[in-house]
Amino acid sequence: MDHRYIDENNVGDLYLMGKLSAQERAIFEMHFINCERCVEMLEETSSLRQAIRGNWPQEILQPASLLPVRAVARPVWRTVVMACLLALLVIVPAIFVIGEMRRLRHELEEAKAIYAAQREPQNADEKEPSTDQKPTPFSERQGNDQREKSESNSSNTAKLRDSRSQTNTPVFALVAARRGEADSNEIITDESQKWLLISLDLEGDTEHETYRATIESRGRRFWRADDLRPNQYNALTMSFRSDSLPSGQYLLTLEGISKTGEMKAIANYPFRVTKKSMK
Amino acid sequence: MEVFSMIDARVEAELVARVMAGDERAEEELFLKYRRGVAIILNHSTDNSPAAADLCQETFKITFQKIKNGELREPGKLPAFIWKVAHNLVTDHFRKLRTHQISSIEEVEDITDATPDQLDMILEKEKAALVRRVLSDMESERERQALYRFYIAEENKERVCADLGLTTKQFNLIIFRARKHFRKLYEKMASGR
Ligand SMILES: [Zn+2]
Repeated sequence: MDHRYIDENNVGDLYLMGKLSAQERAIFEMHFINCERCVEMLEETSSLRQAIRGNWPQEILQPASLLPVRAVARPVWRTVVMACLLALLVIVPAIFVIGEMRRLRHELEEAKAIYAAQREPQNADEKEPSTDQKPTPFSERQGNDQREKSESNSSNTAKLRDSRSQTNTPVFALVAARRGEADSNEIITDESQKWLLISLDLEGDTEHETYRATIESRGRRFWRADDLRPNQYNALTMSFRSDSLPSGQYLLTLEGISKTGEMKAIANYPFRVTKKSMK
Repeated sequence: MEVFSMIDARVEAELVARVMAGDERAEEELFLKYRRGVAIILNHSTDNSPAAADLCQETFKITFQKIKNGELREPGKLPAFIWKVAHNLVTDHFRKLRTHQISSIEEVEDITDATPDQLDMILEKEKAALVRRVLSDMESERERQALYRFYIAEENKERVCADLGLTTKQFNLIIFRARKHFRKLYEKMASGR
């Protein structure tokens, strides 16, 4: 690994972002461990990243995390108008979908409770329902109870799907992994869905004002957002362009940020993305 | 390049021989030569954990011991040797941490008790305000975008290039200039405070 290659390919930047493969990383580390030039570059980049990460001024350039900003020379007012329109396009449906989701989820829980109460005495020995059905995006706590899974095809779920198709912005409420549990959340998208929303229920955690979410894939950092604030339902929502999350297994880790900047691990949310091709 | 690496290997071999002979100044030289690189590796591997500083000290302690025990057979491979010691310590650190996490909550509370003192917090706040001013005052919108998209949003270079209509060479130049201008402006504002 020579300096021309390192400079042209931003190897130092990619290293600090955790975007090098394990092999590239090892080769680069063994190079810079005694290379003053690279050490200086890495130290400078690291302090620059640290300085600007938490301090990006709200009033300038606030692109949605993964949203491409196309026109560089566009007048400022146009950028602002575009940003507002885009925010409306994404946030309004999101708020509607989340509100609707909560209401329907509540109805679903009620229906389940009634159904379970009716069914329990007569069907105590009944076989577990099959599990090979398609998971729904709203996989709230379904992993625990196979019976709950069978209920996901009920009329309430159909209603959930209907409400989703009204906006075409699917919301995936991820469930935190509990100790010793290998269960993963499923995110199934198709080409018609340009955006998707990930919602994380913060459960009992109310002590933090802001959170950091990191998504890893194959042990490498894929995406990170600081300064996430919970909504009125104590949930965090993040919007992604569907094409920015290719099929595969991911791990989302959530940390709470205290007022003094200390980080505290909150939960892990493993999830799998599957792209459904449209015929 | 070849000539330099040969000289480097010879210098390294001499240094190792002196450490083996118990020369403390050679240990210091070796420490100074590798310290910053090892620190970056450890900070990176532990996600900037405060434990990285201790692991760094430990890396050199073990390296010197191993050299004295004759475990480094090819002095030319000293960088890889130190690298391996550092990574073994990181693995060990995480193994211990996992065991520790299962232990009592009281201990965890003890660890989180270390809050930064007031002066540090004031200085941090001042620095943050300065960074915000520098970013707002940067003249080139394109440079600011490049900084944001590459270092904060961590978007792929290819994608940023496609969006901004740049070649990778032009992108590298913009990033280089953005960093230079940021540093200059920061130093100027910090000195004029
Ligand atoms: Zn170098």
